[in-house]
Amino acid sequence: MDVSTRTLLTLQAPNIFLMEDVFVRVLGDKFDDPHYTLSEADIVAIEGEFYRLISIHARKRLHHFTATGDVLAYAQSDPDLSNFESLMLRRAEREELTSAMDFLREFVSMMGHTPSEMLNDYVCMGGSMEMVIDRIGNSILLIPMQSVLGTSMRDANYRLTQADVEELGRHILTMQLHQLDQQPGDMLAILDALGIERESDEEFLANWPAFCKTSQDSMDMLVDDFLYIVRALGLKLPAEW
Amino acid sequence: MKLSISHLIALTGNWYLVDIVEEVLGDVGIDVEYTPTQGDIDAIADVILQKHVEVLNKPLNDYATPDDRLGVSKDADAVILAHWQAKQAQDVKDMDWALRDFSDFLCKLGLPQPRQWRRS
Repeated sequence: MDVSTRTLLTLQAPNIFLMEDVFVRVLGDKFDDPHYTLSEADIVAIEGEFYRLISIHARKRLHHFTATGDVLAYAQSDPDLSNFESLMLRRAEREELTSAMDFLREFVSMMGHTPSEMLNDYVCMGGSMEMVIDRIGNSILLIPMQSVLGTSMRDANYRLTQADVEELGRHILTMQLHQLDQQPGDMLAILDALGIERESDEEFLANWPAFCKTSQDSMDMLVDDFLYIVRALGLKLPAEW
Repeated sequence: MKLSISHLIALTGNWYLVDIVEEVLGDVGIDVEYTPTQGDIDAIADVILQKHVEVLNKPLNDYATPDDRLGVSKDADAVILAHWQAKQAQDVKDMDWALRDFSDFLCKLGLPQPRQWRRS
């Protein structure tokens, strides 16, 4: 039976608004035409447009780490940083994008096409580790990566080794421990040292549990994304883990 | 574009429903030129409802694995019972979703709802 691409989309899409935008940009009026058959070129264009959207989204949240790998040095290098939440990709946004990506991959397969390399495993596309992290959209991951890889992080020809993974694993564990041990005073000292405007001490303390929760969520995402990269590159998990 | 009813139903991601549609429609289910008739829709609805009733009436013991039946399992009876109940609850949930997804599917494709589901 004849169905329009829009109807197909409504049958499956969890993120109809995001996907609708992508499809309309590529197909225009053909999106609603039940007699129009999606071509291979359309599929490639749709994937490309979707990937472009993801990149924009990730780049909005990308911060470049210039010298050292610790948060304080990062913050000092970014004068516009008003609070540490800007380091953190919001979980809901990321989940929405991930589920849209899953949908598109499945949709492309169901239409009898092979999902492009890019969507099949966007981590394996090559490029520098900085670009990989850019694509994933987790800027906190740049902290351990910068510490372990240094300038190699921006080298498109550099491939992560098992030794790097071990070192990164140790670094991330240290970050986790540090995060668990973090006291309000530590953060206040950092904010004050940077001259970052903040709420009063009382308000800061009142917001501390929520801050810790957000911080913990970010660490969980850091670990998830790190493991994702390690697996996608065909490496083993850190031995200590 | 031309797609078969089996292909379209697969896009919903409800594989339980896919099986039922394929069972009822047979070869015409994969014919891209074929549009389901009211009779097809009613027949699919009948099977969904029939399976729903079967699941609700299924004795818990039917959920036992061969090991359970042979008494091989070392789990306590209460654990086995809880396990079976969970399996049955999942079956009931699958059927509920099949009902909901089929109705939703017909609606999205602009096809009529089953006669037996319409309010008189």
